[in-house]
Amino acid sequence: MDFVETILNLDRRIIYTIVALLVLIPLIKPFSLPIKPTPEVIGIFNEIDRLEPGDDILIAADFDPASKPELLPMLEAVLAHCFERDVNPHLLTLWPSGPGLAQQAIERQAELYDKKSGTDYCFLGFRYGNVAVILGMVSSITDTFTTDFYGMPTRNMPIYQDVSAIRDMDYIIDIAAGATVEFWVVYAAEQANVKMGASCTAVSATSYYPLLQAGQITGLSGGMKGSAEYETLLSGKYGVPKGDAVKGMDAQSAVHVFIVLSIVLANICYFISLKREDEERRRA
Amino acid sequence: MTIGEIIGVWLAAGLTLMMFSFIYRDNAFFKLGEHLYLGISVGYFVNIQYHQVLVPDVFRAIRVEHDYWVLIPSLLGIFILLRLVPSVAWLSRMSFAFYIGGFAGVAIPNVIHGYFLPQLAETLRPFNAGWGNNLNQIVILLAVFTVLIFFFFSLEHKRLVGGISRIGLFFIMISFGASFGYTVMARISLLIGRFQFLLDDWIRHTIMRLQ
Repeated sequence: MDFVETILNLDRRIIYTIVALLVLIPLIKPFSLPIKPTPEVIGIFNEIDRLEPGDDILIAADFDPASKPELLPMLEAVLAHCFERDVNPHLLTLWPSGPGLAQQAIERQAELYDKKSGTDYCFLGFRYGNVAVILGMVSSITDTFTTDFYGMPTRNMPIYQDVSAIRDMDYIIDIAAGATVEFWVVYAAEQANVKMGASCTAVSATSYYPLLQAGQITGLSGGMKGSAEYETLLSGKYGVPKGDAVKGMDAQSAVHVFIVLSIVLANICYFISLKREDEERRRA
Repeated sequence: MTIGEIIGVWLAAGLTLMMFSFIYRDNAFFKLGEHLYLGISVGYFVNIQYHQVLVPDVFRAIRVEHDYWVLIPSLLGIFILLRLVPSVAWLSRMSFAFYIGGFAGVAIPNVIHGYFLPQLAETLRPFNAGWGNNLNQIVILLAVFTVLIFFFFSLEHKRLVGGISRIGLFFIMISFGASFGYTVMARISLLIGRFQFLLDDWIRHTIMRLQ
């Protein structure tokens, strides 16, 4: 069997092994490729960065552990950014399996920045109903979430003395693994006239470019790459240590190069084999 | 790390390796991991629904706040479950009618105002924003028009219509290519996430006890 046939009949387990090594080696020994933030991610960063201390931001963490590597670094970075600016994050999730990761992120960042629940931030937890919850929050946040995630009544919290509904927010960001970005745009940002940004999994990034192009969202962060860009921006301006997304980008780049080369090589081999078959047919 | 956390990390690492074992071939460990995942997900979902929906919105509303209006939506919810009983399955139609009617009433004006019109306005922007933006605008208009023709099935796709729909197909393929590229990136990110967990949480922090 010559080289062309070997490539065309390659056991898929060899490809899996190469991909595994290409992920593993950069994680053990990073080669720190540069990460250049794109205008899409800068569009979110700048909007949060222009907020004044005491301003309020609504963060919807609409994802679950299946999207953790892509979106949890973004949530952590956005929360760190808010606390660096003394902006008050109001965190919630519309996903039933979302509270665990959101709780982990906000408690870790609150501890790092010495922030107090109910005063400097509020973790509202999960409410069932997607659009109904958003519409409820457009009318009243404390009526929709009568208690926070820990069971404390929201109405008496200092953070809700000047904030009653979504229109009182200074920015909205949806960190989403599903279709909730459109819900937040249509039912919250457009209705309450509040600027909004979106962070989504790479799979759904292309669906949200029309929203960005139309100015319905100020920025868009897609997948682990977007999260890594945000971490880079945050680290550059505030010296916040880079997180898991930046650490994963070397591996991502290595695998991408391998996939591109594999596609090119496989196609060349495929066309060579077609040519050979054609020649054999003519000879016969 | 507490004992509970250590057990959790070992369990998660074991389940990750069980799922990875499918890469070699289908096997009993993979099946066990798969079924555990499904079972735990359903159990977690039911638990969340009970504690986050039924307890605060139904039980507490009736028993503590004496808000008996919640009985109406609760009853409609029970009607949906009655689809499982053929003799009274017709009751579920009332719930669906209420749900669809209500949601359509909320969604139609909001989606037109908040999604359809802004997108339409962006598609039909005037050509007065510099040659680069004008070029973009021409590409957008061409793509929208040709893709709409591609999905217009009342005319046979031959001659002029066929030519235009082929251009539409070209734009659709570019869109699929971009989506596929992003999908590959997403899947690799998930693999990186699992490897980060195995390397950091399992090997470094749990086995080697490094900080």
